[in-house]
Amino acid sequence: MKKYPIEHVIVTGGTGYIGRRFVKAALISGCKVTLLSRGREFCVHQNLKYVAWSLGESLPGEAIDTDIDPLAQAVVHLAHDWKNQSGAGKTEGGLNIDGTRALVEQARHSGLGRFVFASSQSARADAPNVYGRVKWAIEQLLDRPNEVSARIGLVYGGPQQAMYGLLSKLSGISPILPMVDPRRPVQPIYIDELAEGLLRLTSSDHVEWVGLASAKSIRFGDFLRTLARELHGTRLLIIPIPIQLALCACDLTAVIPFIPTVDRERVLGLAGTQLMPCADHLTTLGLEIEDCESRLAFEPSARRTLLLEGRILLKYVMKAWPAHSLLRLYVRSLYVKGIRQAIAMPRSVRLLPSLLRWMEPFDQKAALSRRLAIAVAIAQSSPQGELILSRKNVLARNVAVFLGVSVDTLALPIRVLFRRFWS
Amino acid sequence: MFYFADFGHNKKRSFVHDSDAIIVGSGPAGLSAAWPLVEAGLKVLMIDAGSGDAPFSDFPSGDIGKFRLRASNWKTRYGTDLSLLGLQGDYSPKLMTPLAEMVTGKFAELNGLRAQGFVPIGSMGSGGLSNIWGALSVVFNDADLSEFPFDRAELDKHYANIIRRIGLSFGGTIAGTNTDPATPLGRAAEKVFSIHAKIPLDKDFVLERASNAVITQDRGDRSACKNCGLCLWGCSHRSIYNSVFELKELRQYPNFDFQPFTKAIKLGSNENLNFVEARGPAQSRIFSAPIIILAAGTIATTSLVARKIGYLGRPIRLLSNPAAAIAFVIPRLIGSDLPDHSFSLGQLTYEMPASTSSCFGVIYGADTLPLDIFASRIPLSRPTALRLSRALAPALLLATCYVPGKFSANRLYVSASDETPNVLIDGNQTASAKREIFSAGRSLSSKMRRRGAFALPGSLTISAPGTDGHYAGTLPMGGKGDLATSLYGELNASKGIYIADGASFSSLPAKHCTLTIMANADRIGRHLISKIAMRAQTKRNLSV
Repeated sequence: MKKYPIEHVIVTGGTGYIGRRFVKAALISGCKVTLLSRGREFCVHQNLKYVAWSLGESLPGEAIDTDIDPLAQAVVHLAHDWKNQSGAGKTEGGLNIDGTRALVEQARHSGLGRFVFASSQSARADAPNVYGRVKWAIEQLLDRPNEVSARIGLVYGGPQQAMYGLLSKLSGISPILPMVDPRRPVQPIYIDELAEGLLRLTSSDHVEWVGLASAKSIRFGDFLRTLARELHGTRLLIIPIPIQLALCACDLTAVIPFIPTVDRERVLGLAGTQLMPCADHLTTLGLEIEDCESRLAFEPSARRTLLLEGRILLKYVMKAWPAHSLLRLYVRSLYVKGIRQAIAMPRSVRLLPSLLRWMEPFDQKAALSRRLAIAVAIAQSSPQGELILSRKNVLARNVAVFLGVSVDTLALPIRVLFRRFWS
Repeated sequence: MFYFADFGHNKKRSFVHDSDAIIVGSGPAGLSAAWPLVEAGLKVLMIDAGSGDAPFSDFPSGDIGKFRLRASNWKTRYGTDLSLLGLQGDYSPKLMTPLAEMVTGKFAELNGLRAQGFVPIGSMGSGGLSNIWGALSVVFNDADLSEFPFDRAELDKHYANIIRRIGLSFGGTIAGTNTDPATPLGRAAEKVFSIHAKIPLDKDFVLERASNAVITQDRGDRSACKNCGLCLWGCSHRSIYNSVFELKELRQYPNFDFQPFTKAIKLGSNENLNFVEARGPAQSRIFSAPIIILAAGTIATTSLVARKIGYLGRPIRLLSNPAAAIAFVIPRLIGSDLPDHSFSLGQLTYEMPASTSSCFGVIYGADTLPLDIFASRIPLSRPTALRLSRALAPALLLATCYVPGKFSANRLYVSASDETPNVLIDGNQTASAKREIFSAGRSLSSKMRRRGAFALPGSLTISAPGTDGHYAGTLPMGGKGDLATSLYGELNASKGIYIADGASFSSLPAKHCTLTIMANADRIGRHLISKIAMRAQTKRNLSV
């Protein structure tokens, strides 16, 4: 009997947050991909085919490639219907469970080689959220040796959608964020690492479930703070609140305009997350998970954050908004030194960079001091900086220096207070 | 791309023997030793790790005023790769430029050099350190030469030869030789110098215009200094002496042969010939001649010699000048405009012979230097520090302060290794060095105060050992034992090998040593002419 590797992947939910990156990874690896979707807006590629389908329907016959051995074809089931996670108790899950059952049965009937289901780290029989219970119920359907569920951790990176989109919005919305149990460990995974993991899973011989998440957990609060720094260049203070209050707040977000609506399900899902041992799974898949700080540092948003940082520091040093060429120079000089992470700045400084004068660190080796040294070097070697420094009116120039020294003297005690702030 | 070849291992070897003397190195010492020999008609071969051209030619044009407003000036200041941006360290600004990076880069690596407590500065490029030097050229007096086996009177004619060749700007005569008119002083130096002229003569504080190897009158393809103020980034007018300029002239002589991209790796000898094994990009070659003149710079020369005579793993004394820098401010000039034109190498030199040992230094204007050098030392907020340093720059004078090499306590070890040198420098200063520098700093401050310049409190910064670049004294002339040389720099332990660079200095005075190295190389070269002629005569007599 011919076994793997898989040459053709049939994907449901291929236009979603994870799906898009997965389809891209599959196409790059040389697989043929058939997208089961309601629309066909995603992309054009010679190895990509669209077949009309929606959750609840069985696997359409034309999705299966007749030129390829069915055993070299796999279904990767990513679709999930959030609106019809109906009711509570044992009857819930309607469309998701029934839809998956229809898919699995047809896949078995057609003799396809592999069925991979995107489950969740929160999948448990007694999960506090419906989502976790539904995912668990579906996992129970997949009991053949060629069927496997991927329990996916906290996915981040890429377009700001889904849970990642919500968390990145929340981390940037205010300097203070009330959060349930910020010490709870989460296991993040970068979206492309996940896509690669799912792809490897199609050709692996794992059974039951496999954890796709960092084997090293971090605190949820730290994860949010990393998002705030990398994506927004700001600091975040997280205040732990009891779950009941959080659920109330969730209900409130639905009625308050202009702020992101937080689904109770998401909060319950996070609150119900338990540590998932998955180091062995990652090893057997040959998947290496990097820590989220270094992954996020290479996201386009991280470069934007660095440009923003350059704008703040150069404005502070020059007392004028810097030309964009100076910002690019700033970011380039950080990259040359291997620095890709922005320093988290208080929001007040973002709005009013001159406030830094009251909180600038004394220690020349502090990270902020080094970046300020770069900003000073860029300012003094640029025509814009030169024009500012060589103002024609000598008296005005010298009065400004005198005032600057006086204000700095006043600022000394306050700078002392801020000494620990930047470390 | 790097400007000299990567000297990889190769086994191909060929043997070359057709010259009277081989000179290793194309820096000021090598060139000065070569001139008399070549002019006397002797066959001279010079081998050099560099290309024969200056390693860097991307010099900014215009003047400092235009330069400050040029959008691309960051490339000149920090390099197109920005690698020098935001660097922190107590180095001289002239070592923190892309030019210096290009000239001195890979020096330690290519010489198998490790250093602790010592910053080794050297160059493998043609022209050596004269590509980035401060060009200060002073003569030693009899006190400076007290430990040398000859006196000032003997050296005078050699000084004169060098000064005629390279051209100095000073205004008067040095060693009986006329020099070009002095470069103009900056406003701050002018103030101090004019007060100095008015107060009674102080024999404990000799303040003079700096004599620099910078021409102020056109000379062949070198033009007179234009006071553009861009000296730090490299002179586009070729006013600052660089021994590479002379290499071109020498190469026009048929009896002078130059082998570029050829790095001396080993010395050898038999009864009447000496050998240099050198590695080029394609093959290794062995050059032989009765006489070999080493002018590769003190560290490389010492490494070759120690391996030749088997002085391995044992400490070798390496002299360097413990140094410091102090900033002075002339209050009346604070806040004035920065000049568009200026001369930015040494403006004045001072000597304090009366302090326990003599102390010597150069005074520079600060109006052409990058502001972040000062800003990083001002403990105010960055915007204020930047503006304050801008206001201070026209009013600042930076004085270096060198004390004699006897206050250094560096040790150089060459370890056994067949062809790849393995050199360790253990940098140190004597216990009294710091005291000496501080006391010199104090007396300098009080002398300068009388001349209207006030030391900025806390500005005295002691440089890391080695950053002065004045290395000497490993193979002293007139010394005893294997690790010493004769009156004319010939190795005691290996006849026919002459040391023409700083390595053969008997001691290292506080003064800048380059001009004396050149004069001594000229002296050795001239001595060798008679010696070689004598040898040829004997040979002829024998064959008759």
